Amino acid sequence: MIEFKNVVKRFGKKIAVNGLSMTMGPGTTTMLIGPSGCGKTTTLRMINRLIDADGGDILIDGRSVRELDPVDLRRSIGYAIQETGLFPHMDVYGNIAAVPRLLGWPEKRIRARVAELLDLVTLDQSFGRKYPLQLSGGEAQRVGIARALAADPAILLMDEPFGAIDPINRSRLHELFEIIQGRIRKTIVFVTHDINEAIKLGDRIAVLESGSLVQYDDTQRVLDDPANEFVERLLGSDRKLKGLILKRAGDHAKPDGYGVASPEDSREKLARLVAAAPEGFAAVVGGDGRLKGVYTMPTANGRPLFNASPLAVDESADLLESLSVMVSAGDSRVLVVSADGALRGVLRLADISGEIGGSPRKEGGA
Amino acid sequence: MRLIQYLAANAPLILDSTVRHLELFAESMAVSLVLGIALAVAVSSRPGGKAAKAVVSVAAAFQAVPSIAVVAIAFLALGIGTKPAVAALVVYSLAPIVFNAVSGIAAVDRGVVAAAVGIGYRQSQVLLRIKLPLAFRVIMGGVRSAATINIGTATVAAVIGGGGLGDLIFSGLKLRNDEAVLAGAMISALLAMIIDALLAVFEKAASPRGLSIKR
Repeated sequence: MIEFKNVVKRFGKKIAVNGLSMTMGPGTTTMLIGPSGCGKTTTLRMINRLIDADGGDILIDGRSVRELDPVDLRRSIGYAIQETGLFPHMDVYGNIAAVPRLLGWPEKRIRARVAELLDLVTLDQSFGRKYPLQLSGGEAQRVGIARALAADPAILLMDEPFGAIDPINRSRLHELFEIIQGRIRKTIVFVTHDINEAIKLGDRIAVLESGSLVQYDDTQRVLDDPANEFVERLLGSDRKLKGLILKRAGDHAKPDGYGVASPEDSREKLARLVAAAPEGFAAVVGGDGRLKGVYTMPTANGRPLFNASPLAVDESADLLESLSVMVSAGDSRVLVVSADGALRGVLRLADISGEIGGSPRKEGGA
Repeated sequence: MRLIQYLAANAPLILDSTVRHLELFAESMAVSLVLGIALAVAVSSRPGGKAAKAVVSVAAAFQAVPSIAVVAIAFLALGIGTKPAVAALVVYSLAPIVFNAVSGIAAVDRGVVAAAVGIGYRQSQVLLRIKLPLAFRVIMGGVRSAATINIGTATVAAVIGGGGLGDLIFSGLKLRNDEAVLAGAMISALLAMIIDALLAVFEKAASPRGLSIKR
């Protein structure tokens, strides 16, 4: 747990952080967001004493950081930054091993730990012998995260770690980040200027403006109830839509409105199932529980038509993503499947509209 | 033809001068290297980078001073003999070493240094394990130009009693012995090229692998 108590930092005459008090609970991801110069990076860097506060105090698990040797403190806290800051003259193994070596771990323990971390960040073991110049941006950032986690710190500080990564790789890293944090449950403080990133990754969001804390709340609360116009503008006019990022398709899929058939069913039975289903389709589920496809009835008295790859999203997808899949396919529903391919249910446009809080939109020709 | 005759006839003298020349070079370079790197490290450890900037400008300006002027000053200060010759060479080869070492250390990616400090390297560890290896090639560039300059300037140091290949050149000039002048000039040029090539091989072998690797 990290506690800021009335922390003040000045650079010359300029006040960078102005009487900041906040508590970051154990195992939570806190996003620090605000425009450049708002003090978010300064706030982060005061935690591991890369910058020393001028007033107030910062406590880690009840102990003031002032009482700790800065170097020991930094070795006990994970630190990942933009552009990764990997050491170009060391291979990936050497980079990940950096902090354990500073701490004097035996080489055998380091080897095991590096192997474990490469697995965690989904890099093949062969990456250990590569050099940073041989890595793509996304791979380098994975190594950066592995290095930050090397000595298994309770706290992880991340300073816009995905800021320089292209959108596709960034969203992959976001997914990886969520999976890793789900497993390791560190106390993470994460600086970003990207509100979508803050909503996607943060349990709580702290909005800073010119060195002051404007709002510090659970992500959902910030979206539902922005403290002032500044926060509202930061969230953008589509903040209701952004709330969809927090919701999972699996939680809103309904296992009704369609027929369930097996691959052995007769054509007549299929036709009856499709006709009886309010949604007008029957899902074919194999003996292994996996979704094989759907039958629909394109014309009133025609034969049922089989589609082996119906529109579907993973149950872990968020609702905004699901909405965008629906909209780009011109459909008003999408099937939701689990990671092992089992059908969880159907997600309808009307349900998503209900989650946005507006009235369900008219469903167009498609 | 007459050059070959001269070389054959004076082989022991030429060999002596060459060995003497290399001694001057080795002694002065060793001192310059130790002093230069120590100075660069000391200056680069000062926070703010102001000291580093000042030293870099002084070193840069110093490289413009003609070698004969440095030799002349060494003569005024220390008189004639080996000592003033070595001193002049030390001073003269210091500038490129310090210039490159300080600017090379300063040019190390700030993000890399910030990360090193952020994950818990001490200042001394940042210098030894991060900055010096990353600046190695730039530092070697300074060492190589210092070595080349040193061999050349060592010929001039003969005028204040340093000995070496400069003796051949200057006595040849006085006695109108073109072959002696040519021999001294050619051998010192050859030495400079050989030493530079050896240093290039060392630089390549000792450079951190990760910096030159292809994708």
